[in-house]
Amino acid sequence: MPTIVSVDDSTVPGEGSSRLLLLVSSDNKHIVVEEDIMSRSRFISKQVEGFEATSQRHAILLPFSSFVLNKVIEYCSHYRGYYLLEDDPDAAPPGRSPVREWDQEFLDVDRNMLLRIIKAAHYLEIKSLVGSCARAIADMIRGKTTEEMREILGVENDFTPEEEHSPSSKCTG
Amino acid sequence: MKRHRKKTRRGSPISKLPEELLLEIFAHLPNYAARRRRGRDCPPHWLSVTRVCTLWRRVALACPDLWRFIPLESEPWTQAALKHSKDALITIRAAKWPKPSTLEDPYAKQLALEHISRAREITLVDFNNNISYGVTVNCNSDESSPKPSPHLEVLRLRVDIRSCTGLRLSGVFDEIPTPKLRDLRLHNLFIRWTSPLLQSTALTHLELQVQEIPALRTWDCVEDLAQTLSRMPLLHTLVLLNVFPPNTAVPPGLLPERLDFPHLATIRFAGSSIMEHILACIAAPACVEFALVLNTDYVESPLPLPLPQHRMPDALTTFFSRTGDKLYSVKLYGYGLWGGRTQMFNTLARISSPLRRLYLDRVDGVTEDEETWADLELPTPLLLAARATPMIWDDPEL
Repeated sequence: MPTIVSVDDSTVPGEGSSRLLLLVSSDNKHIVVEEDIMSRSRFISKQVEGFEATSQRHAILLPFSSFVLNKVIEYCSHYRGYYLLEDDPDAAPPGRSPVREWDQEFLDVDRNMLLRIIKAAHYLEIKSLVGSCARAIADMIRGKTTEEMREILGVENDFTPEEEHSPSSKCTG
Repeated sequence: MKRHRKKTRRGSPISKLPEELLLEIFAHLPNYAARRRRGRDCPPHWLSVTRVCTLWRRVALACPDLWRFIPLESEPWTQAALKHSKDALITIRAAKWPKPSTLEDPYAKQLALEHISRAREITLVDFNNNISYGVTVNCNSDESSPKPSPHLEVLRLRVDIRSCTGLRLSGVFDEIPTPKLRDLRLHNLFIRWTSPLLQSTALTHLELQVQEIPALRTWDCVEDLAQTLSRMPLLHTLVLLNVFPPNTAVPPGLLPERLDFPHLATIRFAGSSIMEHILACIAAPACVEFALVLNTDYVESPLPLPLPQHRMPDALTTFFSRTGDKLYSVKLYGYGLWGGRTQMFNTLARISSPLRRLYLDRVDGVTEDEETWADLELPTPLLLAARATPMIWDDPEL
């Protein structure tokens, strides 16, 4: 569960259709964003529903840095108003969304940043961003040997020699 | 060792991801095509990830869906995928086209096909009679009843035309009940219109084509085809190329007056004049893309067949009048055989639907020169295009 702090209306202005949200990152940066932009996040949507039930506004504290949060907001802003199949399979019209090229450029970041973004997207329940990040990470290890996969993603080989060289591991892992 | 593993994972950012995210990443790894490029010595990705670390191995082995694409390069890999896919629905693809492949192990393929009862997709392309076809079609021929394929959704078979001139589909694939089949494509394989494969009401893509036009082969009656089609209300694509021999008789009253396909988007017909009769029955949405090659068999056949009493103008007029008042794309091929430009113009004049695009191929007297169209009065805007070169059916899917 996220930590929620109460805020007054002067902190989070706006009424009606253009309401604003206050997001607080783990490095204590306060970021104001339109609620509509973040509606792609099921997590945020649920928080907002909670606000409406209690008639109280809150800032939403998030467990990742402002740098990562801004990347997520940039993604959500880009796709504001778009139907993405992963996020809303019932509402999306037939056909594929033209998202991949932009996503590739957007996710052209270093490995650790990519991992932070996917974790944030997972936390915020933004399926389309999770999928794009997963695809980007999979592309990094596509066609690579086991040793190359370890090197690219920084994974340590923690097999015992017996596990690694057992006959069954050659075929079945 | 456990302490060592925990310490190791703490230093690995990707190992801090929730396991469901790791699975999501694995799910985006490619299956067949990319793996082929790596050669025989490189295992499939699913096997590679199980060798990275204990966490990856545990996560990958715990997800049967990750193993659903059955590799056919070697029997041990096939066995591993069959084992770890557990009860998940599997996909078996053996496509030697467009790239020649020497990587498939016939024993692995046979092993995979023994699990047909839990296959969701089977694609065998450019296989020859000695290996895939024999294994697939005849492997259960001694059994008293064929294995059911309750989950089969996609079946694509294409016989290598260099190894034979077309085979009649028989045995397992012609007998198995496939209630969920939605995509059936047979190339150079003949099928009974009453085959259980054609009884699935879930079919959305039906594609039957034979490269060589059949001559004196014994075929089922056209009324059987009409009855079969009438049970496919969800059809999106209907492709029937050269499925009837020339001079096939259609006694009056045998075909229904109307076959409704409310979801039809693509029609491609080629072959003898019998297709005109079928076309005349079809009622399709206005946005259907229509491609037609008719009667080329009468020209190319060495047999001294009489020219038929053609009814193409009637068929086209009937068909188009059922498409409502919007027709987006019409492609006509080989129309010249019916009288060329004059005949075609007369036919078009009888079509009341406004045409948006008209594409003509091999129509006598029609060239790419715009003057060809000068005296053709058609509603505007109408994009006209024509070419004189023979049409080659492309086949990007298979």
